[in-house]
Amino acid sequence: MDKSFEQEITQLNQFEIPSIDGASFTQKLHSSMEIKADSKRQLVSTFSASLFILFLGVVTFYQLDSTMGYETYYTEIESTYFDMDLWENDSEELVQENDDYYDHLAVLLLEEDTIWDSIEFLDEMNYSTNIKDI
Amino acid sequence: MKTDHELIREFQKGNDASFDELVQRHVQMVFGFFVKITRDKMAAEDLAQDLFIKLHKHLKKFRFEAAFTTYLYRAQTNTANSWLSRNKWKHLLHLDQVAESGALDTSIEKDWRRKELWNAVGKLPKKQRSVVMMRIAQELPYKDISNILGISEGSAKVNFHHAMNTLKDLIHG
Repeated sequence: MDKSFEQEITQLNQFEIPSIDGASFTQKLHSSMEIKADSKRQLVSTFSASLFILFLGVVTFYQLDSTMGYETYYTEIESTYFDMDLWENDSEELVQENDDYYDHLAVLLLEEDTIWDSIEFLDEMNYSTNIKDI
Repeated sequence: MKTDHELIREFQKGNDASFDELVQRHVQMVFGFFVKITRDKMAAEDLAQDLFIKLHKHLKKFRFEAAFTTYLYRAQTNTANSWLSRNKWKHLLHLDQVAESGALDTSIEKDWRRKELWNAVGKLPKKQRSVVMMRIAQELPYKDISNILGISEGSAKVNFHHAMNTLKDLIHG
């Protein structure tokens, strides 16, 4: 082995090493350890909080989803209990009212002794009903 | 004066002051080792801090099978190995061209040669690198190096020989 090269690099690394203050080094070491421990704690709590929020989010999502299903189901059931089609109710009422009107008018005409007028009127009504049917 | 093992036992029982005493006992040697490799006081102090933080964590499980110094040399060699690997990339990317504020030697030429030497050491295989670090920066005998690395004395010598040849080629071309 080339001893001169080994000696060369050994000599290159022989220089005066500055001294270090052991007490201040230990103090710095403790603060570094505290900082590291704090950041580790922070990391753990951030991770736990994120996990909790994720869990809460998932649970809330499924909860909302199931409630919506429940409501839809009961809406469908309720629609079979009650007639919810208001437009049809109104039109039926209107038909009922018109029938009553014609009955009352016929009775009035009969009571007025205008029997021929009444018959003519009823014929007209019958006629117009037949026209409608055609 | 308490031995290293006694201090570690006390630390394992929960006495943090014993750990501080252990640190103060060995900090100068550890700092000197890192200064030789990094050529920078600040970087050396940071590496020493990292090393003792790791020791604080791992000494709780120390099994007293070997001397504490053996354990310490191995730990500081591993730390320096990681630093040299990181520095190798810095060197390749030319990020280490500016002189650090904590640079030690006023002789620019010597400092440049040291830098060149440790950059070349960073390119060696891990085992050769570890042997060179212990032999040059720590000035340990081969017997101690073989104990620390868990290899035979002959293997330590062979690794050093190969490392010297490679370094010579890398530095002198």
